[in-house]
Amino acid sequence: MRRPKRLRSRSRLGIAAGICALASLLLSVVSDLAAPARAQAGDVGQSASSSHPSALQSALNRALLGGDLTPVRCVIDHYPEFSGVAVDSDHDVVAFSDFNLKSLLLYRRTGNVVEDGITQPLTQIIGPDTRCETIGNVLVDPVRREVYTLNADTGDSIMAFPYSARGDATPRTLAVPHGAFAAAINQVRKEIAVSSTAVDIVTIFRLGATGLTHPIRYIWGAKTGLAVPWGIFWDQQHNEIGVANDGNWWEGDFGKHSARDLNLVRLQGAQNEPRLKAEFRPPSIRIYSGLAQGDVTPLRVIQGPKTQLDWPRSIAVDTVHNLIAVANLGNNSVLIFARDANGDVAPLRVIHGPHTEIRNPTGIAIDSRHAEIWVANFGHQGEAFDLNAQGDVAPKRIIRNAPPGTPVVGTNSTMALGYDSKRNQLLVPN
Amino acid sequence: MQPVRTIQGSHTRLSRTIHGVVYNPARDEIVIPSTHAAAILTFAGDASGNQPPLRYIQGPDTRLSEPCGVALDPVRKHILVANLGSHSVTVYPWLGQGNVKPVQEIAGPKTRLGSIMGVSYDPEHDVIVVSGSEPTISRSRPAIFMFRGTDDGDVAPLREIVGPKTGILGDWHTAVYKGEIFVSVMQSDLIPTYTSAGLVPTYVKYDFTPHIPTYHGISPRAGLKTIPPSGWVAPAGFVGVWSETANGDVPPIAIIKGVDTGLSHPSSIALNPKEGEIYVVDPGHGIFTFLAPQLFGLGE
Repeated sequence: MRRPKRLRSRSRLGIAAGICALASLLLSVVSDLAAPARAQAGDVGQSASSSHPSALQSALNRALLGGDLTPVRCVIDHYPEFSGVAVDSDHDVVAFSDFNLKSLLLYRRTGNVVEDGITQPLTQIIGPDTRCETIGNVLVDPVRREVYTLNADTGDSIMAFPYSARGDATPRTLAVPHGAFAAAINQVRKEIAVSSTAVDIVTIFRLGATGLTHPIRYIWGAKTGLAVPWGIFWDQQHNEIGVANDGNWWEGDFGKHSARDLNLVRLQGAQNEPRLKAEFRPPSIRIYSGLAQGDVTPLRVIQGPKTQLDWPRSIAVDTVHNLIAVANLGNNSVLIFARDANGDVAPLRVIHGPHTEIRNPTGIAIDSRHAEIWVANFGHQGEAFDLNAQGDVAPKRIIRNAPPGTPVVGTNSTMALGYDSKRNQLLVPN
Repeated sequence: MQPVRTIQGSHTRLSRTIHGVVYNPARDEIVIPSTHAAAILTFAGDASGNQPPLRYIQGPDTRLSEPCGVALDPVRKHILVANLGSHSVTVYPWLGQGNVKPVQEIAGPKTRLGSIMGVSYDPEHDVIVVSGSEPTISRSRPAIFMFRGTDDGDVAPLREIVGPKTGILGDWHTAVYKGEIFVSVMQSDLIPTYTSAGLVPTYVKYDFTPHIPTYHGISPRAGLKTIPPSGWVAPAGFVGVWSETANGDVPPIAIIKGVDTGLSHPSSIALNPKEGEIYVVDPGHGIFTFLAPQLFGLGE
């Protein structure tokens, strides 16, 4: 199958026609990619062996009834949009995951070259062979010099690349449960823990596992309190796993009361069906033993109004300074807690305000050696702050994937669309 | 360009997996399903920032189960919900709040509903349109189902558009206008590798070969030898238009498809018949506006 190259676009947005024309060029590459050898884009509804045009093909030829129309407007971002960040202070590397162009970008921790306002990466891993689709977070393994990312919505996999990977590289791939957003490595145990938002589970695999492999442990069940788990860290010194949760909870996510089982019961004509509970619970950080297995209660829970948790998306732990840092997506802040915080406790520090340029933070990492916090904003920049930063402070350094001031479209994995006829606006859930 | 406003934050009750949205012009409200909390949220039409919903439907009596698509019946003042988890359509008063029972529930083997994602409603013909696939257990086919607006219980669909001539390998959402069904034919073939206990829906591979999985606990799908191919490595999607009177294995009467459209795997669609515009969102690519007044009114 032909493998067209992905493009790393640096084009600026222009007039609508220009935007759509460029989008057509980029997306034509993707469309060609999407056509498997047996069925080409124009042959839907026609068997590969047929030599007669189908009714569908005839319809394609009737321009009056549609066809290959050029859109009159489109909303599209031609630049990367960061979604996660990880730092390797041993090798002076900072890695970002890019949800928009489906790529990974590696930079120097300091001293990057800037051209036209864009920070030049050491490398960009991008292309269909990378299996990068709806990638969420990123993590690095300084021991093996590998960078990982996960498909958070489709693909159901975690991919590992060497730091030396370039362009359309083939990863080492491990299948994981649906909705895998983040992962964390325990170098002592040589294990990797993965949080899956769609099924409220944390699965632990052997580090280096590939393909279809049973997890060696998992944390899953009503007692765990997991409720759309996003970010994860593994404190290997204390062997504890921390998980950030939105709080949206449904009993149906736990196997015994699976709604799919419910439907099976219906189909068999059973009369008694379980009623499933659902709740909106507060956001939380839940800490488990690193050896936890099954339906276990957490060791500690950071939860409550004093915590200021608001859509905690990514979390990181620093065992040198005994801190937990939280990318607090809901109110554009970074929260710093004590490593052993528990209950409804206020953060030690909060980084928040216009000078911080923190906007839609989805990724966070701590560099203990250099005492820095890295933040990935869902958009065109990542930032480094001093570990002791507090309040409305400017970042120490900024890494940009687009010229300053470039608007952020901010859509990701959009699976619905509404039209507000009163305001003439499009409603786009993400 | 960046959005003119966003609704975001913990107070909104939103989370990941929002597979539907509909605007209610009669009340100036936005209705959104919250899949992972089994809830239907209603916001003010001008909601912005970390603003809580005006009300929400949630609880065991609602029979909501991974709600995905939502639609409105402006005549009966109902919210219609496509439930992915229970393969059902449930209907509620649009002022419903809390643990309310559905006023209608279309579910059961006669319905032929399987993994359904989208629902729309045609008030002129009192037809409920459901997009997704046929039932589970042994085989599954992507289809467009049509029911009467008053249907309730285990009832057969009025009509069903299904089969290879449709060109549909995976549909997602629909929008209706005066007897026409506009379908965002995504074509993405998602094969979840892991699942929880119990038999789960199969997914049709793009050569229409049925695919029978069994699952036990948290483990890879039995029978899989390798990680499934990416769902996005499938034929390019398109927007197809069918008449509501269509039934069986029939191609669309109109189509938006091709390289110049920019569409790869369109997931959702909204209509502006007044301006002749069709809005299509393509995950990971963008939001596209097509000016195609000639595609409206074909069903009349």
